[in-house]
Amino acid sequence: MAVAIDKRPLWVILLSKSYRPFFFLLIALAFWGILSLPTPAGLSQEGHKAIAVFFVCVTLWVTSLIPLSITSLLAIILIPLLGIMESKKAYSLFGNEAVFFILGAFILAAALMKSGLSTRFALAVLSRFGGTPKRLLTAVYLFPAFLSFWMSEHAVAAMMFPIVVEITKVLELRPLRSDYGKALFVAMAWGCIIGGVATFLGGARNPLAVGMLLETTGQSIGFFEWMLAVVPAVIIMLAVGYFMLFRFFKIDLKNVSQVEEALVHRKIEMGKVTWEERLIGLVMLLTILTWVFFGKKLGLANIALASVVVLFVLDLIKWKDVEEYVNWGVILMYGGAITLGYALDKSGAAAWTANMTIMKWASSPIVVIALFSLLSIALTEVMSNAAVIAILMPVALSIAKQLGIDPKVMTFAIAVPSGLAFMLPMGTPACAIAYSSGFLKIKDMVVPGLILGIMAWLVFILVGVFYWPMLGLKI
Amino acid sequence: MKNPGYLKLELSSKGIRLSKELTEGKDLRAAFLARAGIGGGIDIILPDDVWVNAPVREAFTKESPYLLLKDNGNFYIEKGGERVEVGIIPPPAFYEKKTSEGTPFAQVGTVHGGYLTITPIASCDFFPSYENCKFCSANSVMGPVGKKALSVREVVEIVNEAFEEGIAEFVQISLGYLEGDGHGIASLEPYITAIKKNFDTLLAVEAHPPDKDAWIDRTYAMGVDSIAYHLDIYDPERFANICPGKARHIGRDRYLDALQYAASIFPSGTVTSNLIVGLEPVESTIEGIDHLARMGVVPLLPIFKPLEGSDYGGHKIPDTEEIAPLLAHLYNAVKSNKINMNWSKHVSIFITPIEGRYFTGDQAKLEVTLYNLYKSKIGGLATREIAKLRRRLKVREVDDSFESSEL
Repeated sequence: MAVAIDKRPLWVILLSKSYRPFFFLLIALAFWGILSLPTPAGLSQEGHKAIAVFFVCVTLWVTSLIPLSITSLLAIILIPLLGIMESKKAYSLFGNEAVFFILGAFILAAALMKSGLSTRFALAVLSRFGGTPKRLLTAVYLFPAFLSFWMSEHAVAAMMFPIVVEITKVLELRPLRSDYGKALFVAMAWGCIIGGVATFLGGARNPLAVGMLLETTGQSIGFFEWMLAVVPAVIIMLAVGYFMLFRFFKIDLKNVSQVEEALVHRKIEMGKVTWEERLIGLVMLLTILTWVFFGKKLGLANIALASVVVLFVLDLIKWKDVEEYVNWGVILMYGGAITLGYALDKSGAAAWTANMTIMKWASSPIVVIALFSLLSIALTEVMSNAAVIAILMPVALSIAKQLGIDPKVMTFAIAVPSGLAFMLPMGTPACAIAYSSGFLKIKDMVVPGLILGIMAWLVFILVGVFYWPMLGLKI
Repeated sequence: MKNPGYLKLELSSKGIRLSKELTEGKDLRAAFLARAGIGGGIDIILPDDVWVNAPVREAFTKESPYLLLKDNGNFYIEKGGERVEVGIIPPPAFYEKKTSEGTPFAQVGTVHGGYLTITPIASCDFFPSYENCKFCSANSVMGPVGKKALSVREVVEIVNEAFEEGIAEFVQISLGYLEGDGHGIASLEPYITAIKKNFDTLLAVEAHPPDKDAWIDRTYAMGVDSIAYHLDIYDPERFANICPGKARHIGRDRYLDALQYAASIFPSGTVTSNLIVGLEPVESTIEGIDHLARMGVVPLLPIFKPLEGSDYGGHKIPDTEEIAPLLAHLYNAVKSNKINMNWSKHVSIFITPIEGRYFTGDQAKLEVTLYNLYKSKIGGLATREIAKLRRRLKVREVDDSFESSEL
């Protein structure tokens, strides 16, 4: 744990810290105020209360005054206490398949990380394809993208970071000065971000969105179905990102031969591939194949958890490792978000909110899709992508129902852009990790990130308009 | 004799002789159990509550015009037939005890003024390569502890003994030069944490500047209330000659940079640096005082003592008449740069900036009132609580895990 000292004058710090109690008081007053208002026409009493809870949760999620997971727990508590839903039902929604799928995916990623298999892959790829500066940069961009198809993009960024740092050291690149150094870290982050939207495994937000879709409409999206719809967009985005990477950052060195030696040294340190690594790789491969081919039949969560059991039966992972790598806060956050989304839908609050807001200026389904995806991509730059989904999905699904838009399309329109935060370090952990290298100034990320974000949004819309209808997805 | 500031200066540099009764009696016996070197003298309370640690063991003290004697149960300092009544801080009784691990307490820490000074890691990597500061006698006085680090338990025990006895109010940890980019500050963390957890006290550390400023942040965050990076010599050429290890491994510029950075992190008046008086021309020391004060650092002016066991054991003592104007300059520099002078209280081993007023003719009524308030029990409590609150507000823990961004 590193420390930082706040150098602002004490009175400024005191003032900035003292806003918290006032803010909580304001939220409580606003909550009470909303509940005290007469219930608007067309909205049920439960819907009225659900909107009050939604308001509190949105405020807390956006401001992060308390951890996201604790806000979710607050939602689970308030819903039964205000009589919106029975306790039994509220808590049972926490047992949503999506939550357990996320848990399983986290444990599988923990096994990959702990065994060192992912690092070994990274070293092998960089060593094989990184002969010239251009090829090395391409490998640092594309490999994390590909790996983020199969494990959390955040885990990939955390795993890649020390390797890229080592590359910059070996090449004696100077922080903030070297364009190539900047390019390496930006490439790593962009690769992780773009790759992370391709499957359910890249970011837990994707299954969360599908979980909310399932609870609200009874429909679901399979593992393969998601990939089929999103991967073409990912490939185009990767191509655009690749072009921009070379456009914005100059390759200011001619030779990267020293890197090979360093990578070989790292490989020697890791030793031979162990049986543990082989077995974990095999389990992971079989799990992915089962998700792709039997996901709908067997259930994604069932497959994930069965693989987890296999890992423990084969003694390939210890519970201690799971505790270390699994982000339990996210599990809690998602459970609460699904419960709140369900409550908003069933109480009619989501439909009412949609009618009062976006429906008033929704001229056509395509405009709605464009608006929601734009809102999602903009919000995710400044707040957690899971919170973006928790906030937008209930209203968006209600609008989809009213306008006859396929709810799956709406799920894609929210979930995919919510993962595409390229601009700011706080947008996504991959950007935060890249920024922590000390090679990048904020403007090195903001300008290209903004342009890539706009391009990605356009790509997404084009894919939605021209490609998805071929898959039977109707806007 | 009537000016306590001047008397402190005289006693600090010339030392004091002890009467036969005191040399052979029990009153000061325990004082000789403690390590020699800086702070190894007798603590005397002069009029106006001015504390001084007067050397008594070194050879040069035999020539001192001052004599400490006991008459009718009272202590006096005598010079040329003139007497001043003084108080004596009895040497701590715990000097005669041992830690639970068998180390004599007198070898673990020493009390001078209101400070208990502990050297948990009695080692300085300058000595093996003969790059030590030439005035330093640490190598010869570290005694049986040698290179062994004290256990945290031993350190807690000695602090407990000193506080139980009521003989010290603050803890100071002293650290020699150690290799590595933090230069040993990380190894002090367990001691600092244990002291802060077990005692409500302010804690000062004297160490060498770390290579990176992040270590200074960490030093403050771990609970250190006051930090000292001793430049000792301001003149660059003399600095390199007298302190070759410091010059080679750290560099004079790093000392100044680290002090400047520390002054932006620690509260005003808690970042200090020694400029030893008597080892460089007065003009150079004045330049050093001004430079440090401008950065918000409190310059401290220990008077050079030719310590036995140091390379400069036979070096001549500076003339107090030459030093007096320096002390006046110190007071004015600290005051004009608006640096808090009230942190150092009951300091006996060097003349504090507030004591510099004795050489200016300035009554400094406001400063003295404030200083007395700080010295009071309520003032002490307030200082400690404000220090805690400040740290709580200023220190932010930065989790470097990717999970910290909450997905």
